[in-house]
Amino acid sequence: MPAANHEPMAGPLLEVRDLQITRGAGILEGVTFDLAAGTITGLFGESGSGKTTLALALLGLLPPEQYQVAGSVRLRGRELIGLGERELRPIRGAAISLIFQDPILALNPVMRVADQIGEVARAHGVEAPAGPLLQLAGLEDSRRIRRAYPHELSGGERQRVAIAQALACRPALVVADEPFSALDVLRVLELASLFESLKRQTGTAFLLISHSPGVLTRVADTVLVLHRGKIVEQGPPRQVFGSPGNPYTAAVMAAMPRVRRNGEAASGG
Amino acid sequence: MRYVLRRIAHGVLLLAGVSLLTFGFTALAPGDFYSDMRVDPSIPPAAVDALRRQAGLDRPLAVRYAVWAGSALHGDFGYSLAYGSPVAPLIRERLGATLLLAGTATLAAWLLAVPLGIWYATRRGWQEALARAAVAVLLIVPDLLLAMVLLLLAVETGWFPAGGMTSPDAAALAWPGRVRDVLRHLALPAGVLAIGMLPALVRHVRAAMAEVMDAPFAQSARAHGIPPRRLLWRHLLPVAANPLISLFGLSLGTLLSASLLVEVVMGWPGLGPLLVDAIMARDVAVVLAVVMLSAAFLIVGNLAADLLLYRLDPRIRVRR
Amino acid sequence: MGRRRVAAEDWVRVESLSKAFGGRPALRAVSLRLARGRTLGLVGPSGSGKSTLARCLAGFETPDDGTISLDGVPLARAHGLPPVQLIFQEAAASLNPRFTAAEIIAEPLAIARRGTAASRRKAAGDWLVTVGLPREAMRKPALAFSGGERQRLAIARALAAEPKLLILDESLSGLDIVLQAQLAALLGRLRAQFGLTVILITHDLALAAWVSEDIAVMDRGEIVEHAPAAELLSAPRHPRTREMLAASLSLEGAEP
Repeated sequence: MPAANHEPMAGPLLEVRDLQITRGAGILEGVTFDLAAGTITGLFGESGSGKTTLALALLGLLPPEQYQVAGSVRLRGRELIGLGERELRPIRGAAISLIFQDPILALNPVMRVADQIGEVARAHGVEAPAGPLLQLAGLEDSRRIRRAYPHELSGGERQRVAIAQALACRPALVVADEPFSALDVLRVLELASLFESLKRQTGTAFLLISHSPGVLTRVADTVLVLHRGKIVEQGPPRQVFGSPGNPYTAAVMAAMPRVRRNGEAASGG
Repeated sequence: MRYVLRRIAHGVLLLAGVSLLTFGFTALAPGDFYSDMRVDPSIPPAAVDALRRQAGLDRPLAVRYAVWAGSALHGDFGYSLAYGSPVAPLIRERLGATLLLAGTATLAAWLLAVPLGIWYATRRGWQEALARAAVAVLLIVPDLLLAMVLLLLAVETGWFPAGGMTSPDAAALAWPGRVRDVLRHLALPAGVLAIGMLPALVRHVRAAMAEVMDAPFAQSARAHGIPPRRLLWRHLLPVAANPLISLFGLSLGTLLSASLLVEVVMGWPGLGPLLVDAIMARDVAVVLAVVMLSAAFLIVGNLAADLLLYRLDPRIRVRR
Repeated sequence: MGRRRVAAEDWVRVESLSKAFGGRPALRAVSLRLARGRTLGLVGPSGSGKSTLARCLAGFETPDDGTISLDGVPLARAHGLPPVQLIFQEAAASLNPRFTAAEIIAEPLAIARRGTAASRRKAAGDWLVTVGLPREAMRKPALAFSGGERQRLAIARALAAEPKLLILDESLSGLDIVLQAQLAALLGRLRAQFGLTVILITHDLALAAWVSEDIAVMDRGEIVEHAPAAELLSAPRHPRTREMLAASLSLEGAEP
């Protein structure tokens, strides 16, 4: 599988500086971070912290009548904030892809899988046969799945179809909103492995939104902790979660239920 | 297949019920075809009685119904006392005219309603308010009023004929001329009907579109960079079509009944005037036949809608 | 018909429950006993039949075979307030957004015609306070509450019906950790205060172990292991249990 759609580069893939988003009240403030190409970054935060808003903002999907966006988001040096719909469309799904939470809702209910993937390819003028993409996403039985409608697939299969669709145009960055939330622990591990292998095979960068420290520790190279619209900590997950440097992360790690080796479950420390 | 057969069986039962009720209602109305004659002093009562006996109107209700039902099952729908001819050929010639009018109007209404409804669904602010007002006004205006205004216009300006389906000298024209003639006659009544159907359809289309436009899958498609036009027609409309397909089936079902009023008022020689005259004259055979035909259309229309939906919406095929 | 004295261990008694959907078996002769006042964590991978079992217990599905009885009374014959209350994962989806908090909580009582309108209102207010919401919130419509608050509302409504058994079907799943901890703590308090018998369905083994005294593991429509939590975690017997335990440990960064 050819490498992701970008030239080898010096600086970071994505540079976010002082991103501020308000909708009446403030949602995000002073958000600053870098994303390196070909890495997996975790975005960790509670509900209402602004994670989904951040993801939507990267693609310019926040309706301008309701949201005020200030700050800078640069993709390979190109400023995205302030671009019009026409300029954003070639980027959406092609340079940056977004996988929505809950694939049953995010897939078109009356379109076959192959067509849905084909639509994305068509919109950006690329050739993207569904078969190889589905196999890349870990779906072996691609013939059946290609012809299927979303409601005919299991939850796990739908998840992978959404991933295949996101990869159709070989984007440099894929943002996934809570891909692990609805899954049981065995599936979570499978999906985590899939993201790892995709990173290796295609060189795509991932931004994974999750509220599970365990998964992010396992799969992410860096983690950003979002609390009440501000990034309160960033760094390698073992450091962020293992020795939390701020009260919020510390409180989360204390509250997390664990299964300890000696068989005694307790909540955190 | 089994499903279709079951529906047809239901339909037949329904038709039988309709026939029974209709027969009963017409029989409940006082008098019969010959009642007017009875009042006429120049006709001896004995003669009226003889006529009645000849038409079989003196036999008990149940017997008359049984006789009718028996012959109906053989395709013989009785004899029209008013027109002095078997019912079936009478209906056939009028049926064509009604279908032409109602069919044209329905097609026109749908062809206009879909783009208008989609346009309406994408509006905000003052444009939306204007659209809403326009639809409301159209909804309020009664078909009758519109028909009369247009008839007046026709008479005053002579642009359109004021009634009928063909001009008296049309038979002499060549084929293209005859078609043009019919179209000129069709324009006003079809126009009235179509305008009458339009506002409700537009609202339904708008509602169906509005529901899908904000759905997560629509957002997801936008996030993939699908351009707006393609998004609308290839992604949104197929999903929004579900309720509209059912509605279309209903439109088919009411093809016969919808045009009744307009036909009568604007003088279109369809089933409408036939039915009204038959009711007034208590020409039971004709009334029964027209009502049954209407009911049959409704049943077939509904069945067509369900089958179409089954064929077009993959979600319905999963029976849990 | 007189009621036999029911041993406390048989407060919830499920015998050979079977249920199939269109030829596909979801439950295979499942048997379970739960003592009064205990909390059972029901864990297992998706598709193992946990939700089906919950729905049968709550009376939403009729099993193809087998019996369920609560406090000696077969489920089918229970009348009045439903003895089993089920709380779903998305509380937001299960509450009528237009109803006020008071209406939502009092609804089971109203349907069973318990008390007067005034007494039901007061009860609703009391329950709101019990789950940690202000009494004045009674008048607010459900959509004015946040996700976590709606979850509390759902719990209040379930408890207002005074159930013999409370089932939470993935109600604490998908929540962020802090919220989950708060709700789990609330649940713990309520259990102690009211002596509730609870089944918590979750795919999170750690959560189950933290909240429950016993754990039952389901796999492919059967209960494959059922033991006190500590015992199950230190000495898991069934391969499925071991698999889930290993996965949970690996996510916690510890060596399995």
